[in-house]
Amino acid sequence: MSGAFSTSNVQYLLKGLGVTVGVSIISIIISFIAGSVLGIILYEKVPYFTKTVRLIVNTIRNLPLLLIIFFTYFALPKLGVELNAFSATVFAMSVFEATMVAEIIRGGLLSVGIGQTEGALSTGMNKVQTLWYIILPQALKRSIPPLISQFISLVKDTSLATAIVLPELMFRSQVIYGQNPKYMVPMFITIAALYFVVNYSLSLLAKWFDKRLV
Amino acid sequence: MSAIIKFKDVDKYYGDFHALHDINLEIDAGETVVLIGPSGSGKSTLLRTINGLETIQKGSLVVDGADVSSSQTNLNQLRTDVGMVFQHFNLYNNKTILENIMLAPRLVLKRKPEENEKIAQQLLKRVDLSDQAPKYPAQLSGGQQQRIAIARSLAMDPKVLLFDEPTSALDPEMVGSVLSVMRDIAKNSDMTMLVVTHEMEFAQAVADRVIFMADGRIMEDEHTDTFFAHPKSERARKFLSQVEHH
Amino acid sequence: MIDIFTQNWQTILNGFWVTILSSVIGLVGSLLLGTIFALLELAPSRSLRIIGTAFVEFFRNIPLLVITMFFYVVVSSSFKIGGFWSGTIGLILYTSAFIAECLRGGIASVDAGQMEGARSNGLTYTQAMTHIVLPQGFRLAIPSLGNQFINLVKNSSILSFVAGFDLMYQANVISGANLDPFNTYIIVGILYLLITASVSWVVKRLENRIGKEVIR
Ligand SMILES: Nc1ncnc2c1ncn2[C@@H]1O[C@H](COP(=O)(O)OP(=O)(O)OP(=O)(O)O)[C@@H](O)[C@H]1O
Ligand SMILES: [Mg+2]
Repeated sequence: MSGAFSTSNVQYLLKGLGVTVGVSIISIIISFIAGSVLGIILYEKVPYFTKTVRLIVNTIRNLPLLLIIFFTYFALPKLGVELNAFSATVFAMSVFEATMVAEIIRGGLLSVGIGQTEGALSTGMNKVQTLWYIILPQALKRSIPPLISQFISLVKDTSLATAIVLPELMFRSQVIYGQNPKYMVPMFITIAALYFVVNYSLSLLAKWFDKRLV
Repeated sequence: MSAIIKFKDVDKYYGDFHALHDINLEIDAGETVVLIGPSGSGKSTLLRTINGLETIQKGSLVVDGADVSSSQTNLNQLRTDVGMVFQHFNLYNNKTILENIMLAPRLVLKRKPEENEKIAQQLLKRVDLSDQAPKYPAQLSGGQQQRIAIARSLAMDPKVLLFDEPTSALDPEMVGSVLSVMRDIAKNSDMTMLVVTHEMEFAQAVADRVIFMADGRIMEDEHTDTFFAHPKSERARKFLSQVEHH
Repeated sequence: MIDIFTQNWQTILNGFWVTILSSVIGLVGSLLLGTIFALLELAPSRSLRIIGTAFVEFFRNIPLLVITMFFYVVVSSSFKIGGFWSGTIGLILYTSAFIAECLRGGIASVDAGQMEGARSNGLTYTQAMTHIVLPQGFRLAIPSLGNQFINLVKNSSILSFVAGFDLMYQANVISGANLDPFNTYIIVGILYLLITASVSWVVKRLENRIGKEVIR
């Protein structure tokens, strides 16, 4: 087959989907772990420490992700940190998304509430046990739907890495329609459909959790 | 006199649940009718079918000459002639008291601003709340809010006024002022009133007729004096004794 | 760091201005379009609801960059709309889907009695919606709308992909020339924080003011 959907083009594009999914999964795992730790720090109000974390989280949350990607890829080498496009994307996305996750986890912890804490403490558990066995599991459960929404944003935002020439889905579609302007519309439809299928499935998952949790 | 509300063989379902059974009921223009019955007996449902807030599945319901069950009927038109007062007032939270009363006349009846305000002020006076005009609903007590809700309905100059337990969400000391406004309307206007209430003294004093419902059916439909003196059914006797001991 | 600003202040201010302009147009446009989508999603007619939901789900689940590039590459070949408008239209479509979701939530949490009261009072569905339910839904949605506006400002950096001459674009131009991306991006970051912090501040004030109004 030739044209926009020639075998080589399809293979090329699917590899891009692989990069998109790969970056997404790694970033989701890192940002989930880092974000949970940050969220607990924000919730627990550790003297000085929490204030510092709050400042950093607020700063990063309020910057464009694209700026963080550029900074990671172009500015960090000046500090001696050289990252290739893939690692730079994963790093930037993980840092940015971790601050988003932190806010969600903190919200979840707050919503589990003081009643549960007092109940657990009064049965003789210490603070760490209370957090680990009682509060955190409930908070995580409540955080699942907003976390999934956040991860949908993450998947979409991987397309920004086109700017540092990461060969993900968006980038490769541009390469293909660069061959021939006739391929533009088919390419846009294809990648829109691919992103949509991935994200809409995630959003159905979020809805399913939402229903099951109430 | 001719009936302004006419139920004929009406049935109402919520999904599979049969909420109204075979309702036959005629109410004449100008009548004041009180509707009583235990919780869940279908009083609210019956009331809400009259202005089309609930649809019926069988039979016919004609209100002021309009067939409510027909999809041809303009329910908006009907509702300008049929006012409703709710248990929880349902005043417009984002409008002042004066705006609450003036909104529908302005939008629906296209009443001129000066006339609209004049009528609104008269109504505020009638419910004894002239000084509250610029406030928002949340700044008023429940009893005051309910009197405003009544004034809001009256501003449309309806032919029929439906009341769904207008005093049951109120603190006891607020109930009297609302009932006295309702009594005033019953005595001094030719409006048709259909009132769901647990206030038996009010019913005895004001109603021309009492309708007793149970399990989605009309069990009794009697003149007020007859009903209270000789309730026919065991259910009604039991209900009355429970309400009185309340 | 200061000399980056003194040497490029005109370029930076131009970019700053374009970012603000695009954000403001994006805000107005997505608020209008988002309201329409929300009303469609909640409409009494099933076919309108399907249309509304389809729009919202589509634009929520594909990247902003795909929408923007579509306008810049495909639409621009027939209508000369240029980078600024490709980016800004992309922003409007994308953000309106999120705003629709916020508003739908706000409207859904308005007490059902408000609609019933208005309908019983003789108002049509449209009148009840525009005068009573929607204004209250908006108030309830203000906190989540505020978040969307902050996202909108950040997302306006999408203009840099399509030569929209916004702050992000100018940052790349300057750092390409002075070979000091570190300090250039920090300065630009501070400017973005200035805008997003102002939006947060305004939203907080709006929330407090409306909280004080006795409306519940
Ligand atoms: N929207 C609805 N969906 C399903 N069932 C309903 C609905 N509204 C009412 N019902 C049911 O219909 C029956 C009649 O309800 P209705 O509200 O008319 O009773 P009521 O006589 O007004 O009671 P109350 O004195 O408690 O107000 C009840 O069993 C109720 O559970
Ligand atoms: Mg009832």
